[in-house]
Amino acid sequence: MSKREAAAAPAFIEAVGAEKLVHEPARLVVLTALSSCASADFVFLQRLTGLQSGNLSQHLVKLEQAGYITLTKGFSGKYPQTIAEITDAGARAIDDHWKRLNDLKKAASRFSGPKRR
Amino acid sequence: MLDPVTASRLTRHYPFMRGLAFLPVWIGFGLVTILNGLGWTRTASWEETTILLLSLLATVPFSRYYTRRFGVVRPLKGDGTALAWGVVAALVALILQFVAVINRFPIEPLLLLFAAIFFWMGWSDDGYRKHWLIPAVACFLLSIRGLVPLDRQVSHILFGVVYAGTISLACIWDHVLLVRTLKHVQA
Repeated sequence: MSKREAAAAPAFIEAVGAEKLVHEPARLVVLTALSSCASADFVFLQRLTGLQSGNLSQHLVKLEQAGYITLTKGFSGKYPQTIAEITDAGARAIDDHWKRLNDLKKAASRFSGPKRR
Repeated sequence: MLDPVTASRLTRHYPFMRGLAFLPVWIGFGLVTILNGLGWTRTASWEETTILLLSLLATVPFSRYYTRRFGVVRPLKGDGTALAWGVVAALVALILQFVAVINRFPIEPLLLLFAAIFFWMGWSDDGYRKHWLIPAVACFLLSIRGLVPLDRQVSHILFGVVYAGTISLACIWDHVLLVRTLKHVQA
């Protein structure tokens, strides 16, 4: 292993070992979107992710159990409405995750892999 | 599934991208201005009030459509604060506008402010909603139309058509952008 590769390894290991709860694509999109607004409802999150209701529900429950979001169930007229809101812990988690990915990108740019012809 | 960057951007802009919900108001406003310019209605008459009230009522089904089809997003507090400052700036510009009209000053401060707001809307976030640059340019040109010798009636009608027309166009484009962005979202 060259010196450059050795320097890049810790960032990579840290990023790979990063919280899998946040790194899963659907949950990453949900948390990133929720960090850009005060709150969003289930329908909007479904439109962003394209997931089936049950699947999205499972992801939201996991995030709620981790304390990253709060879910409020209510009604909008006759229709049920679930509002998701990011918590401070969730905002910190998503910020840290993006920072880790940025660090990994920087470390990877220092690493020179085998040259292609 | 949208990538996180696009999802974040769309979430930030979505509360202001419900274009069809704002459209009836601008069409109503344009219609009132044109009718007024043609001399068919008088300012603040019951006909004009009725048109504006009907256009406000027409926003309700569109608003419901967005809520059912695309959901609801509450913007960040910072965006709300920016909106509040925009309203304060509009009130100040309105006072300046009255002063300008009384003193027959050829430039309209209120339209200049709108041009600046629309320019900011079109320019911010790497030009995500760059179509708002069209009403920005239109408002700037309309704000200095006093420098060109025009018949008062023509000037009034021109204002209604261009102002409401370009904003309506931008509202429609907002809707198109929203639909296009979410069109290919799959699990």
